[in-house]
Amino acid sequence: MNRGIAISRIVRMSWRSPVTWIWAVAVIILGIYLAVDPGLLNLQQLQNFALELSPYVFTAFAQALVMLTAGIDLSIGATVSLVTTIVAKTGTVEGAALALAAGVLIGLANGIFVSVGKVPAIIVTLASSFIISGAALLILPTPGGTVAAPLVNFGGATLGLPVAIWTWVLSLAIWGWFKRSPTGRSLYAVGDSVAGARAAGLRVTELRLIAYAISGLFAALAGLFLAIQTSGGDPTVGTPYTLSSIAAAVVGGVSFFGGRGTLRGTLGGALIIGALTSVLFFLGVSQFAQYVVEGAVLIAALVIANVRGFGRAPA
Amino acid sequence: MSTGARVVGVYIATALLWIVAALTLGHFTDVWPALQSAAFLGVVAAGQTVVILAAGIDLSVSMVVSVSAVSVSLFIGSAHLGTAPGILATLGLCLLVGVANGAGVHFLRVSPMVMTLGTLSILEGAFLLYTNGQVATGHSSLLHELGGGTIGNIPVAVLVWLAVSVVTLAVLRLTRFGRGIYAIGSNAAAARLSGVRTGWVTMGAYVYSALLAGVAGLLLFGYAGQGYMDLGDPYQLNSIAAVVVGGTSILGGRGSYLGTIGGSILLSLLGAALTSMNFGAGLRDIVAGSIILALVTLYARETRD
Repeated sequence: MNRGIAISRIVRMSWRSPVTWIWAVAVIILGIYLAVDPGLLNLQQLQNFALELSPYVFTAFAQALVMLTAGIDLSIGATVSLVTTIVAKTGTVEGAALALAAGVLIGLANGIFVSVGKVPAIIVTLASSFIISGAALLILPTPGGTVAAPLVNFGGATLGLPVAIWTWVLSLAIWGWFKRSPTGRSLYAVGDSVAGARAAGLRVTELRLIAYAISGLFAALAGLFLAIQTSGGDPTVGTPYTLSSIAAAVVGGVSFFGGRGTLRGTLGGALIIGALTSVLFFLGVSQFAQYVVEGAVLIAALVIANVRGFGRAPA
Repeated sequence: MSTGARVVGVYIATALLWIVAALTLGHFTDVWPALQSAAFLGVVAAGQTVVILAAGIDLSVSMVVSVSAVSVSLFIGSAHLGTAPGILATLGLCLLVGVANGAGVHFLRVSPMVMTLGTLSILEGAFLLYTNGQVATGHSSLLHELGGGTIGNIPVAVLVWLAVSVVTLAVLRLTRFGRGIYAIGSNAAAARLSGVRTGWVTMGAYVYSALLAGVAGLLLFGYAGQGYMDLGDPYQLNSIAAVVVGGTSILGGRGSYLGTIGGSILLSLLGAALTSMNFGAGLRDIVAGSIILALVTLYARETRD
């Protein structure tokens, strides 16, 4: 094929793709942040910023994965909190590994109730968020604890780019490979139409469980980065990330009704939400305004998605 | 399990729990205080029932309760409005929230979960901005009577709940609005095609939910003499659980407020039992969440996928 035609096709295609628009907005917001805080270009600052954004990114990934199967996870914030308490209470690298495993188990448990128990995801995860928060309170009633030095060093390391950013890229790469695999494609099919997927012989239950388990892992990673960033654990620190994860996923183009959305877009959405919060904070807007802005952004994003035909409710 | 069977089941479960609690804990021989706390939940759950029957959900109720309690305190206290204007102003605020929710769900086609999560977030931010997270205290004789007073042995709050229950049941069963709710809940497109005024009915549902959450906030303020941000927190999960455990389908179109009444009593009883067992906050949350999870697994299974 003529190379010129191929290139112009790609360019035209990408401008029609929502992911491109999402990233355009993300870049603009990051640009605004750079404008108000030029000190960010310093590698040390960039690394702090990347650490700060990581919980937004990973909770968004977690939520996106669940939404792809037409579910929702309202317990992500609680999982993040729980992970920080486990990491900080044990103070060891093994403890952190344990925390990650806990995240996967929580994801699996949610998945079992949704998939096998057939209880709607919103109720399951609302109830499990109580259980998980309760556990976090038991483990670490007040904020504190210590994070193992190797973990802190990991968070502070750079390989050209801050390590945190490499983890985002790595997650995208692994997901991209997974998405092309039969299992990955089946996952999208399940979200799109459960009946159709079943009729096509896909093992819907197992696929959902896989999605929830990976989602739990992502939520736990978010908690790990948060613990590293704040050098401690806190049983309620994760609460705001539940809403922001939904906002980030929706802004990132993931549909509630399943089967549609990308992790690339979700990363863009997470950067938008995370950077927006930082920009507001930097401009001296009250921390509480963050809630108002997130609520408004969430609604606005869904309205836009509806207008473009992505989030429309069936009937 | 049919709706009727589920409703009966809830009451049987409640009675059993009561007996067990009375035997093992030695309390709960006194009916009225238990019904009083159930009343607050029952009022919120009435609104939630209507919204869920219409295939929606209202996640903003917890903040509406808190905002209502604090607003009435500020209106009557700091703003020196009279009691009646203060109450009206507060309910007006709740009306606005309900209108916003309904408009978002119907006109903007935003999913109810997202819309009400959005208003929840906005209310949280606005609340914190306005009050700086402080507790609002105040006193209103009328509200104190309504929320905490008794007539003979019967708490007035229970009587308010009774009134709300009668209205809710009547509206759902006897009015065109009520039929519209069930119709939209079953199949929104068919409802619209058969002439149901879906815009009005949807708005009505969310307004009803917000107003009742506001009433609950007023009662709670009267009962506790204060309003604060976390006041409404228990009512978010519990109102949904009360509806679902009472036999109403989370997907809408099926169910009855009669079941929700039972669900409210059951969950309040559970909460009171856990408190009296002196569990710490963490353990209490774990047990409460687990029991709710178990209950909804038994009661809220949906064969529609």
